[in-house]
Amino acid sequence: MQQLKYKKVNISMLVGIFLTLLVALPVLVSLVWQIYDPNEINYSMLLQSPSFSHIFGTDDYGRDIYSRVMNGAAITFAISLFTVAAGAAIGTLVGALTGYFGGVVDEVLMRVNDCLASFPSILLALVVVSLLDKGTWNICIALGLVFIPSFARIMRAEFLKERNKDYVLNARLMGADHLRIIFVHILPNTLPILFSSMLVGLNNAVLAEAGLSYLGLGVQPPDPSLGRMLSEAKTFIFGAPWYEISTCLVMIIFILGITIISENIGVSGINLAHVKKRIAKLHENELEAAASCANAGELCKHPVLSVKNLEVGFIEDSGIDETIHSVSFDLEKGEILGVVGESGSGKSLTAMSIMGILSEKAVITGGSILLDKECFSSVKYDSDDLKFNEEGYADLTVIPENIYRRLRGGKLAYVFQEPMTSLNPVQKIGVQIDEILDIHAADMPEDEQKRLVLEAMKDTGLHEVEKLYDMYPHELSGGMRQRVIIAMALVARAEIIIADEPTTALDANVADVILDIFKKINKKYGCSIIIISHDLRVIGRLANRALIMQKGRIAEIIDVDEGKSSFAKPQTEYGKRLLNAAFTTKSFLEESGEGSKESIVELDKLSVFYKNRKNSDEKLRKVIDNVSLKLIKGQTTGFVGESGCGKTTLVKAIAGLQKYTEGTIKLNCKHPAMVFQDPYSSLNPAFTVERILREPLILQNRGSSEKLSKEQMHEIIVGMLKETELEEEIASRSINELSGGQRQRIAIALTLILKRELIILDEPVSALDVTIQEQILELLMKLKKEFGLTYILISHDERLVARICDRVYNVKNGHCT
Amino acid sequence: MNYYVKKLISFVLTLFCVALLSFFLFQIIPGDAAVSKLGTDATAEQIAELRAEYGYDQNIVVRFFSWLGGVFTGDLGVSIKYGPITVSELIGQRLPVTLWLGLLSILMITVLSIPIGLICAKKPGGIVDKVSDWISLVFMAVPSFVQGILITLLFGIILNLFVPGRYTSPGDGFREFIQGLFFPALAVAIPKIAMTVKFMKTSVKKELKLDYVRTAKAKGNSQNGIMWKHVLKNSLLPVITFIGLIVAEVMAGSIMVEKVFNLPGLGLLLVNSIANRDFNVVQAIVMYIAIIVITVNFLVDIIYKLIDPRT
Repeated sequence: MQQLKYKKVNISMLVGIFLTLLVALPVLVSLVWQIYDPNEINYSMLLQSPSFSHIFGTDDYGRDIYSRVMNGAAITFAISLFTVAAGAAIGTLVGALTGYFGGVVDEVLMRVNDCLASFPSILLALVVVSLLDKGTWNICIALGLVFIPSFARIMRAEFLKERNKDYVLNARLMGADHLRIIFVHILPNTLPILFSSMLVGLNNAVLAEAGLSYLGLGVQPPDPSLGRMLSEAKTFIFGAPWYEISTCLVMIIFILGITIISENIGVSGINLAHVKKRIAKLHENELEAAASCANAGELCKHPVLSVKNLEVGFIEDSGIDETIHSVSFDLEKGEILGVVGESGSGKSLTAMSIMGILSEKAVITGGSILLDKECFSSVKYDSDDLKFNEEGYADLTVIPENIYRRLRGGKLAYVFQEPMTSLNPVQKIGVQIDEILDIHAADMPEDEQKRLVLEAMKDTGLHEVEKLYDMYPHELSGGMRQRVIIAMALVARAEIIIADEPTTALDANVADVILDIFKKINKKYGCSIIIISHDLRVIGRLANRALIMQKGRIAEIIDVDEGKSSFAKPQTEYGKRLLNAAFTTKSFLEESGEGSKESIVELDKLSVFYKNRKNSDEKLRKVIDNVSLKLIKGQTTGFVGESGCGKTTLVKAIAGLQKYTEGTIKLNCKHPAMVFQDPYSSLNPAFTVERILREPLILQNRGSSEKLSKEQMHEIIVGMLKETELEEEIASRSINELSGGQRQRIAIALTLILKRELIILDEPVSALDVTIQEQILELLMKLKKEFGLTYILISHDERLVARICDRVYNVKNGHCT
Repeated sequence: MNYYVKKLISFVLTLFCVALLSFFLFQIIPGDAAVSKLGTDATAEQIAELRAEYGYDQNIVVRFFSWLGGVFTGDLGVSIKYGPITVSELIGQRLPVTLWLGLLSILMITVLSIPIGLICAKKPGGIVDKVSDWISLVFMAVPSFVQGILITLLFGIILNLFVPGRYTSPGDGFREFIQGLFFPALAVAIPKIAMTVKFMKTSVKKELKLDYVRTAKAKGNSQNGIMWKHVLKNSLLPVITFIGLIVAEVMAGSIMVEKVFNLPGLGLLLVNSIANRDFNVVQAIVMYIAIIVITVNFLVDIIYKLIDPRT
C-alpha cells in the first residue's frame, strides 16, 4: 500500500515548546544573573504591588517575588528532574528485566509493585518524608521512590509486548545474548513511550513537590520553591493577590507546556475542515458536468448499480492525493462480480465508496454511483430530498446521509475482511444480527424478528442457531464469525452484498465452504454480489465477470466461466501477468539426479507438549507428537498444514527457539537462520537497514580475534544488498520507508551475512503481492544454487510447496507424514 | 482455578504485604514512641517502663502479628499525642468524614466524566474535542490545593454558600451535610474529572477505529446509535479499571483538601499526626487508607469480570 505519512510541523507541539521555554528560559537566565538576591529582606518594601523595579511585586518580607519565583522554579524543577530521572532509570531496569524474563522474579516484583501502588502516591511520599525528616534531599528520595513502581509497570508492559516480536527472535538466532537484546534491540523501540511517561512524571513531580511544601514538609525556609511560595502566598490572597497569581501562573504555564509536548510526541494531525470545504465545491462543479453528458453512454441493460467515472482521493497537507481514477462499471441484477487486484490497487476503497463508509481522510472527488430506484422500495424518504434521474437512478454521492443510512445494512450489505474483529465483542451474536431489523424494520414484532434472524443464520450453514443466538463473538471460530456477518447481510434481504476479501483470514477448507455459501445465497435470494479478492482462484470459483484493478484504475473486465473457474483470455499486459502468476505451476526444481545424501538435520522421536491452561480433560496438549525425520543437505523440505497444526512449533524447535519435551534434534551445521512471514515485524523498526545488517557482523567481531573495520563491514553489506538485487542507497534508509518486497529481501540478505547453510522460510511470500511473490521465489532459488543453501519451507499453500520443494511433509495434529 | 478464588487470594496476599510494609517502614525511625513521648531528659528506667507498657520489649515478629490483629479488632494502642484517647477512637471519629468526602467525589467523577468524555470524543479533531482538551489540561495543571483555595474564596468567602471547616454528619441534617461536603468534594473531584474525561476520550477514540464500529455503520446506524449502542459499553470497560485506580488518587486528594477546608477527616489527622510525630496514628491511617484502596480495586476487578463476557 502507498505509504501515507504526515510529517508536518505540528502547531500544538510548537505551542507546547513555546510555553515550556517561556518559563524555562528566564529560569535558566536567573541561575547566572539576577537583579535582586531572592532571600534579601527589605522591610521598607513590604508587599509592594508589581512595578517596573519589581515586576511581580514584593512579598511580606519585602523580597522581590520575580527573583524568588525564578529561584523557586529552579529548585522545584531540579527536584522534579532528579526524581523523575532516578525513578525512570530504576523503574526501566526493573520493568525491562521482569518483562523480558518473566517467571518467578516477575511475579514477586509485580506483587511488590502492586503493594506500593495501593498507597496513594502523595501518601507514600508523605510517610517517607516524615520518616526521613524534612529537607530537599529527603523529598528527592521520597518522590523518586514513588515514581519507581509506575515506570516499572509501563516498561514491563512494553517489554512484554516487544519480546514476542519476530525481530527479537531474529536477534536471538543471530546469537545476541539477553542483555544485548534488552538494551540494544528492544530498548530503542520503547524510548518514545518512556520519554512521554517521563514528561508526565515531570508534571506529577512538580505538583507533588507543591503538595508536600503546602503541608510544610518540602523545601525549608528561607529557600523558595514554587510549592512553598504558593502556600505562603495564600495568606495574602486579598491584600497582595499578585503574589499567589504570579507564582501560580509560572507553574501552570510550565505544566501546560510539558503536557502538550508529551501528548504530541509521535502524533501529528491534519486539518481536515478547510480541505473538505474545497472538495465539496470541486464536487459540485463536476456533478454538473456529469449530468450534462449522462445520456452519452448507451444503456441497453438496466443494471442495479452503476458506477461512473468514480474518483476517490486521500486528503493530504498538500491537497488531495487521488487514488481511484475514473472507475466505471455496472453491476447487473443477480450477478456476482469479482474485483481483483494487488494490495493498494483501490479495490476496497471503491467498495467503501459505494457503501458510503469511507474513512475521514478519504473523499470522493468526482463521478457518480447510481443505484436503481427499486432498491429504495421499502426505504422511507422525503421526495424533496431524493431525486431520481430519467432512467430511475439516484446518485449515492449526493443523497442525504439520513437516507443513505437507511440503505446501509438494509439494501446494501458489506461483509468485512476481518471476521475476528468485525463483531462487537461485548454484544450477543443474536442481538447484533437483530439490530439490523431494529434499524430497518422497526415495526416488525419481536418474535418475527427473531425468526428471521435464526433463518438467516441457518442459511449460512450455522447449526444450533438457538444456542448461538445467546453466545458472544469470542466463543466462535473465525469461520463461524464470518457466517454471522454474512447472516447480517441476509437478514434484511440486501439487494447488493459487497464481500471484501471474505475468506482471506480463514483456513483453506473453511474458505471453500464460505465461498459456497455466497453462491447458495445468490441463487436463493437473487441478490447481486460484489466479491473483492487478491486471489484470482477465489474470483474464478464464484464470479461471472472479473474486474481487474491496477493502481486505482480498471485494467480490464474479463468474463469468467465460473463452473470451470476459467478466465477468458486477458487482453492487457497486466491482466496476463496477474493470471500467469496466479495459475503458474512452473517448477523451480531441477532434475539433479543423484544429489548428496548427507543429512543436515536429524529429528529423533521429537515431541513438544504445551500445558493446557483452561479446564480441559487432558493436562498436556501434544503439539508435536513423536516426529522422526531427516533433512538432506542442499534440498528444500516443505512442511504444509493448516494454522495450528504444529508446523511452526516444529520448525522453531529446530531453530532452537522452542524447548522440546522429548526426543533429540541433531544439527550437522551451524544454527539455522530464519526468514519470517511478516517482514514488518521481523526487522527492528528502530534501526536503519545498514544497522540491521551490521548487527551480525558486530556480534561476529566480539567472538573473533580478527576485527572487521567499519569500512569492511560496509563493503560486505553493500555486497549482500547487490546479491538480493537491492540498490546500495537503501542502506541508509529506515525500515519503515521500505515496501514489503524490499523488506523481505533485506531479511534474506541478513541470513546471507550470517553465513548459515540452513535457512528456515516461514511463509516467506504469503504477505506479498502475487507478482512480487514470483520475484522473491526466483531470488531464493538463485541464492540457493549460488551459496549451496538448504531450505526448510513452512507454508499453507500446497501449490507453492509443490513448486519448490524436493520433499514435502504434511503436518496434522502434531504428526508428520 | 476459579477466577474469583484467584482474585481473593491475591487480595489477601496484597493486604498482607501492605501490612508488612506499613509496619516495618515505621521500624526504621531512630528511637521510638517511648523516647519521643518522654523526651530526651527521661531516665533509662522511665523509658524501659513505658516501653514495656507499649509492648516494645517483645520480639518484632510477635509485635507485627499483634499489631495486625489490632488492625482488625481496632485495638491499636493509644495516641502518643492525645494521651488516653486510643488510636481507634481517633480514627473512628474521623473516618466517616473522609469516606463521605471520597464517595461524593467518586460519584461526581463518574456521573460527570463518562457522558462528557463520550460527547467530546464523538468527533475526533472537532472543536468540542479540542476545547475540552484544553480545559482538562488547565485543570490538571493547577495543584489541587490551589483549586481548593480558589473554591473556598469564591463559594465560601465571597458567595457565602458554605462555611469552610464545618462538617455535619448526615444523621444530623442532610442539607447541612451536603452543604458542608459539596465544595470540598468538588475540589477533590475536579482534577480527577479532567483526568477521567481525557482517559474516556482516548478510550472512545480507540474504539471508534475498530472494525466493529465500521460494521455498525454498515448496518445503517446513525452516529448516535453507534456511540450509545456499541462504543459506550466497550469504551467503559477500561474506564472502570481507571476509576478503580482513581480511588487511590481521591484518597490522596482528600488529604490536601481536608487541610485546605479544615475538614476533620483522616487526611487532616494524618497531616497533624506527622507534624506531631505521633507514629502510632500515622501507621494506622496509612494501613486503613491502603485497605480502602485495595478493597475498592478488588471489587472493581470483580465487577469487570461480571460485565465483560470475554473474561
